[in-house]
Amino acid sequence: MPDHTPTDLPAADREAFDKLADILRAPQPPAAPFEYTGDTDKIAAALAVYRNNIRSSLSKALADKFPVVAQLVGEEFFKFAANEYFNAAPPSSPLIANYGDRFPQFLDAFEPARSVPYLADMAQLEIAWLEAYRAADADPLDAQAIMAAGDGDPSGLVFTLHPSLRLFKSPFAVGSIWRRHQSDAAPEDINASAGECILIVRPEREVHLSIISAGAFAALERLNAGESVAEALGHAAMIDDSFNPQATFEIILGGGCVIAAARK
Amino acid sequence: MNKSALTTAVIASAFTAALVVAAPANAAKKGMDKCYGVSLAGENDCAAGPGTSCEGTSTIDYQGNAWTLVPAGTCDSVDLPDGRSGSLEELDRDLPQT
Repeated sequence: MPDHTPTDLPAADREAFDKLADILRAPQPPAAPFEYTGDTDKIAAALAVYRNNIRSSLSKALADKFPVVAQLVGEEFFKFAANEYFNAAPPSSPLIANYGDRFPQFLDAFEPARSVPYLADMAQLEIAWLEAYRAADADPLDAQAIMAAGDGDPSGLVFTLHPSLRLFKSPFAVGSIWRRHQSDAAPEDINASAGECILIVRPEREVHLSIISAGAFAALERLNAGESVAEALGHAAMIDDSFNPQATFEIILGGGCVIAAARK
Repeated sequence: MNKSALTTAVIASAFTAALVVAAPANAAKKGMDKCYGVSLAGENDCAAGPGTSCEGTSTIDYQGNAWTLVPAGTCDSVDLPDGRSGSLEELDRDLPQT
């Protein structure tokens, strides 16, 4: 049962609402419509409209939440997947913004989408994008302030990263594919099987998505976990032979990724 | 990169060099206003639209043809070098005989 069923209703009413909710959520319309008196054909027709309105509006909400997934598979397939997803995971919260949080896991196991192996990761990336979009606002620290916090040497500093910052790593080129599906994208050839490290951050009003090196990704992960600049960069240098500290700082400073800096 | 080469001096100079290249993060901030009341991506209370009418109840019912529907969007324009780029063909091959 959903957690938002009003609890101050008389038990009999609550039962009726629960029963109606079950009928609306069931994959198939009820074989025998309701035991209520009245024109059963009319009741069945009204229930069909009600059931369809729910599926249709949630399918549309899902397409709004996962616009690239929707473009990738096409409208008809997406509606089909959305309907199957509704049957597998009907909304558990009255907040429509949270609907679809398990869509990536669903797509991962969704047999008809098997030929598009990066679909689940794309859905996960689109969730990360929305999380960044909705995250709390925070003012990035500029480079001078960071330098001052470290007395001219940033090595010993620990950063608080921006609340909107998301790091996502995929064995597929989902960042490049995502970019190609934006309205201002230039057409480019993409090898979907080339894995990518992706940084998403919203320092101001706009969400920025960038594909970064494995070293910069590792450094950001470590910084996010509370390691000092020297520790995080040292780790990145170990796992990435071509690690470039300057390029990493350019990503961090240019992206407005840091909102506070303190000596460890 | 060798970890031992990553001295604090190297870090400090890399930081300073990055300063020159990276645009100040909040350069674009001035003059930008917050825009409240703009909802995006299913964040409105109700996704109003075709679903609010009696949109044909059959249009969304794909129960019977799960295996005849294949991804038909832009995915087949993205290369999968392991020979699976043609998603349409791939799925057609696995279809049960009708």
